[in-house]
Amino acid sequence: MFATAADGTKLWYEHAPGPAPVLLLHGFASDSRRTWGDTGWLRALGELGYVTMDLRGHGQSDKPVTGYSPDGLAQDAIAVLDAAGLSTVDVVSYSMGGIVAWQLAKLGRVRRMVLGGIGSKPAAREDLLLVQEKLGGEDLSACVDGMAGSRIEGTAPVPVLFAAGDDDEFAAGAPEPFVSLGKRHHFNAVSSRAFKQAALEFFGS
Amino acid sequence: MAEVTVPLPDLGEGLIGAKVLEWLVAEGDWVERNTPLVEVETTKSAVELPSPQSGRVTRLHVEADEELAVGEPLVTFTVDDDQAGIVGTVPAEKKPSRRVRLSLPED
Repeated sequence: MFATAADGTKLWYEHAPGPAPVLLLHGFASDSRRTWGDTGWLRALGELGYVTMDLRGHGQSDKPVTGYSPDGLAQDAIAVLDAAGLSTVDVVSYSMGGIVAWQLAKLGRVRRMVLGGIGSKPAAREDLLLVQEKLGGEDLSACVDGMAGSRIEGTAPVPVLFAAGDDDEFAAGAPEPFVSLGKRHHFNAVSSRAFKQAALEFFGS
Repeated sequence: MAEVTVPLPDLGEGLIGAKVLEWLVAEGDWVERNTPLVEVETTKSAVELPSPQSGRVTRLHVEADEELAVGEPLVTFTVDDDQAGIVGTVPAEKKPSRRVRLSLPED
């Protein structure tokens, strides 16, 4: 299904209804299928329900050249939540998706959030370019321009849990409360069973 | 009872192999079809593979951190004989075949 952002951008999403659907926000240069589908997250969340989306510029969503600030991407998530008929949701994010989740929480649409693969340092341009080199895909320079230098800032507006692999240099210095995903790095931690269990426990199911 | 060995499936994107990150089942476990079986890592990402069938796990062919190629044995199950033929396929939800009564109308 597609939701439409304020600027007309078509945003791909999938909504599996349930008693407490979890919004899933993938990272830079990835998409919903690779971050949440292939990794077993959608299977793990089956009973709660979920809403998963491709951020603009990614996956099956449109790829405009503007709108990539943390606020722009959070507004896109709001367009998806509105289309799915959901007011506030629990969120699981990975990597850059955490910056979007943080902003979405400031906008009042998040109940609780679990942020994987992210620390408190800003998303450095060279790190984003490294991720793109590793994951491949289309030109994302508009997203790099819009997100470079962004970070999660201030006190979390809602209950939050951080999770990352011990060898994840992008998530170095992740704040507490923190769950270690063991000896994983940034590109192989998202499927971790410990990550899924921590999120499900945090959401109280 | 019969043994069924499941190979590493084709993971798409031209990938020819993967490394086992973590087994999510142990030898001796009974698993249902679609239960998470193993996490593997490719050059691009990590993937969780669900079990293609129900059965008792009798052998894990590779250990964590070991690599294997697409098509090489991943796991062996012991299954009921009538399950042995359906590896990797979706069990068909067959409707019971309809019985047709061939009696003549009574008139």
